[in-house]
Amino acid sequence: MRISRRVHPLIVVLTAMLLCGCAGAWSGEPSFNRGILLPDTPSTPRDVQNSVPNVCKGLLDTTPSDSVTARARNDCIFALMGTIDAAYYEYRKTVRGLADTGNAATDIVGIGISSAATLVPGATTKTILSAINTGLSGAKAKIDSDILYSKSITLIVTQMDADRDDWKSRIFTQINDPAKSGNYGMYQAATDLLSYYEAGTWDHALTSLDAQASSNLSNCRAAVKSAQTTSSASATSCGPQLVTAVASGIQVHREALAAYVKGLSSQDQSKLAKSLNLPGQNPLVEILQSVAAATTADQVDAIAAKIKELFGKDI
Amino acid sequence: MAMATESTPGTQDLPTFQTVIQQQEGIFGPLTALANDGVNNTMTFQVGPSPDSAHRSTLSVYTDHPPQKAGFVLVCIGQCLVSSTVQQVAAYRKSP
Repeated sequence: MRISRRVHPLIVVLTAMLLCGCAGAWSGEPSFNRGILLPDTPSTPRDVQNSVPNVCKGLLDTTPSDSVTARARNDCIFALMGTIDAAYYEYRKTVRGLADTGNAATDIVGIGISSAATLVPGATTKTILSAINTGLSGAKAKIDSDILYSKSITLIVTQMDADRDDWKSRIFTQINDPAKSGNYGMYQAATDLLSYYEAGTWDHALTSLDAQASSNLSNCRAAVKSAQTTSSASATSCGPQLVTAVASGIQVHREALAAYVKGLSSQDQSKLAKSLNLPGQNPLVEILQSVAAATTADQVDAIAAKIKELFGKDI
Repeated sequence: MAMATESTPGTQDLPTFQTVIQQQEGIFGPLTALANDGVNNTMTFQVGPSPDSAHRSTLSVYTDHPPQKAGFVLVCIGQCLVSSTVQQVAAYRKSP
């Protein structure tokens, strides 16, 4: 899944590189292995060997079945996280500098990570951490003055921040939740740290933004479809719909509707989605989003009426 | 398990933002991620059974690392807009 997601843009980018002949691109992103962590082999450069945090030495040969103490694991995680953060903040500063100087002729090399390819059973933790190196590929994009000026760069940096926070949350949750912490080994922590690193890359941010754009497109299509089939003026709104707090009485009704909808069969959910003029690609989510978007008693009652009409249920 | 992402204005103060999240958890299911897009805050929920009102997410603003809170587990962290200012926000849930 992850590999196929990366292969296509990689081919496009490599082709573009060949066509442009731009081999000497600026590489601003921190390289996880070259600059941060590389397997400790005889060929590993000394400066890289030295960059492995002391608290992690001895932990990077663990396999999924190996157990390490929570204290040792956490110390290593925080040390690596700190190293990744430091590299990321330098990178972010550089990227933000591009926005300030408007240097549109500069090339940015994103790192396309095909790391999942090397994740085979029995691999050691340091193999996972080195995966990024074997999968390293230059995903190069010439900065186009039309698309990459300050606002766009800020947007991408914001996305990188958000994606990193998401992964940091997951790691913190694994460490802090007593129900999960016991089973959270160094091996799994290494894969999460790899994802945490990847979340701070240009390539990953573009993928995330693309996913958000698709979501917005879906909202727009639903709005257009709704506008075509109803006379509701509000149906023409497009893009991300904003949800806000509602009065407690309305909320009680919304939650009752949501609970009922979640209990419907997928066939009935599709039927309800269709009657509400929703695209129907993911009926349950779309119906719940309609419930969340209903902020007045009339809007909530309208959904309740559809349920009554289709399933005879009074809510 | 399906996920749903909703947006809410970044102009809201923390208590209002928290109310929005708790109400959305009552519709979608538990909160899993928080972020902002420069104007609005985004909230991601795991679609499924909603937590009861005593176990819905509570928010705190923090600096450096999110503090541990006795009797609560950390749900997620994110850079969010609180009264239009970017802040580090942590979401907690009461332990079972």
